[in-house]
Amino acid sequence: MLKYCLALMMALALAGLAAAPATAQSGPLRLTITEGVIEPLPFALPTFEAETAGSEQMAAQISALVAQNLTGTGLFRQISPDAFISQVTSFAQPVAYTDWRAINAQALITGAVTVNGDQLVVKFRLYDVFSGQEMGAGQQLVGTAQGWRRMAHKVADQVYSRITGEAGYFDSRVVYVAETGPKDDRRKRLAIMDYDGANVQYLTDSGAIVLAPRFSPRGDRVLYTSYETGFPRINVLDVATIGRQQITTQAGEMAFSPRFARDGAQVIYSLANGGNTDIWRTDLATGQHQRLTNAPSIETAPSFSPDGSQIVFESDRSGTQQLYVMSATGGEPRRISFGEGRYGSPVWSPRGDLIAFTKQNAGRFHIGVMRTDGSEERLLTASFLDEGPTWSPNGRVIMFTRETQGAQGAAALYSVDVSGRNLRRVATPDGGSDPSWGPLQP
Amino acid sequence: MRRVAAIWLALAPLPVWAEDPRGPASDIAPVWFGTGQESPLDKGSDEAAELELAAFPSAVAACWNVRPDDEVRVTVLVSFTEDGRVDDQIRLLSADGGTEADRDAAFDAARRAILACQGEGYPLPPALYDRWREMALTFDPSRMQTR
Repeated sequence: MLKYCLALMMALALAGLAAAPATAQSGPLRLTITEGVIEPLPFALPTFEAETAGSEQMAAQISALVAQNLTGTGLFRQISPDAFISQVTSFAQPVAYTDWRAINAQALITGAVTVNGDQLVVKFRLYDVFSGQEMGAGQQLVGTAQGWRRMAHKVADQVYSRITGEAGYFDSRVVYVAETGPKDDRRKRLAIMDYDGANVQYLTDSGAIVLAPRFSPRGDRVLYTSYETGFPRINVLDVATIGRQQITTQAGEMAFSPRFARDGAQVIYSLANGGNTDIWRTDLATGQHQRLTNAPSIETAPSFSPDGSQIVFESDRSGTQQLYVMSATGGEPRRISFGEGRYGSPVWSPRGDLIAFTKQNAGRFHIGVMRTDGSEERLLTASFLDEGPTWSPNGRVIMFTRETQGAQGAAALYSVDVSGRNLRRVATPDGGSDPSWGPLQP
Repeated sequence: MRRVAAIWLALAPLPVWAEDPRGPASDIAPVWFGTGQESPLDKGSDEAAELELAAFPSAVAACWNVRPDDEVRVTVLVSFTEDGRVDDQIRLLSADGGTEADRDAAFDAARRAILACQGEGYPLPPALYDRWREMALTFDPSRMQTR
């Protein structure tokens, strides 16, 4: 018996569980649970009901994409329909919670699809199976048949948000540089796609090298660096019309690495002149320029904090490439990176709590995150070449470029959860680099 | 840019399918130290009962699904029947950290954990029922944080 007690106590200690003392108590017994499990939440998603004749295929496509969005986060696991005890044949059908509990479905998503001509109507409901109640109200989405993917993304965003408490990111787009051809003759075009790599559209031809596209806060415009004049220049591209406007610079100046301010009215970027590179700000409406740094070193890759009050950037003023934070109006910057290696391409999280960066150390490249004061640095990836992080609109996921080694090496887009889990390649038709994740679409 | 119109359905809650009044069947057995074996402990002893009670959090923990970077700590109030089943609504007593939506999600996760792991009832010591008939359970993910 003593042996059993000791084993039990050791197990409890290892599990890190705290129990209330065994003395007399007033009020409820208080216990603390500190160790749970980190595993995908199992959900059931019966194929949405087709409410009109001929909408079966659309219902199946939408159901599959909702499930794919959720499982793609690494936070959810779809239960195979083969395991279902209940069959959901009607959206109005009462939920047989006992049957869903029996297969350990923690969430149940039901839906219905109606197609009338070009109009598409999608309804869904989300249930917390073990508490036997609906999570939030049912929702109906109305759109066009061509926009079915967006409708599915919106359903998935709602489910994700209701279960995790965070905004979703599925109905968002990414602008990036599409790459084709061998390494020594690579052709680059600006392209825009859904967050999951679908619906790729090209915004420029491959006549000139293009780099570093950056979405505006509303996702209606894109900043990018173009070499069509032979020198790097910054263009502003209207996504709807593909119309372009160049930010004015003087002869001999090179402008690159642009990024929008939070209001979308101003742009910060690097300007190289006479061998020195500093950070500048330009008002797009007035064309007024303001110099924000003035140092003999290279200052580049600026990124605003979400509240617009600070800028993080990279500089070699210490002798190696490191990260610095300064006021959005300029002034003395403070260094925030102190680890081994070189740090670059910092991007402030939309939640404001973290800065993502590229790190090069001991011949390897990493995507990492740190607190805005430089503390709690964590490396999320490691490879021959990882670079250029961009945040999902909810600050949960980072997309970046991974390039493989050798003459046949190619660039591709990858994403990773901010916890370092769920590393995935984003399916694009060509190679891809320099992603910029846009906002959640209205 | 094409907009998708969203309309909230003001529908009455769907009726619950006739459920077994004894509670849901579950394929998740509570996880106990020594599960499936006759305990060599003398069930009548205070010490054994205390240890059984102290092991309760581990049974719930097995079903507590924590998000990798969850920072919200919630405390919920639960009442139990003598056979170790949840007796009533699980109520939120307090929540710290995160946004309101984060706190709602953390409460939902805590409630799911308690309900999903109860199976046919938690094997709590009957001799101490007066102590555990009502529990304030705090779910604290801080030790599991990765950021």
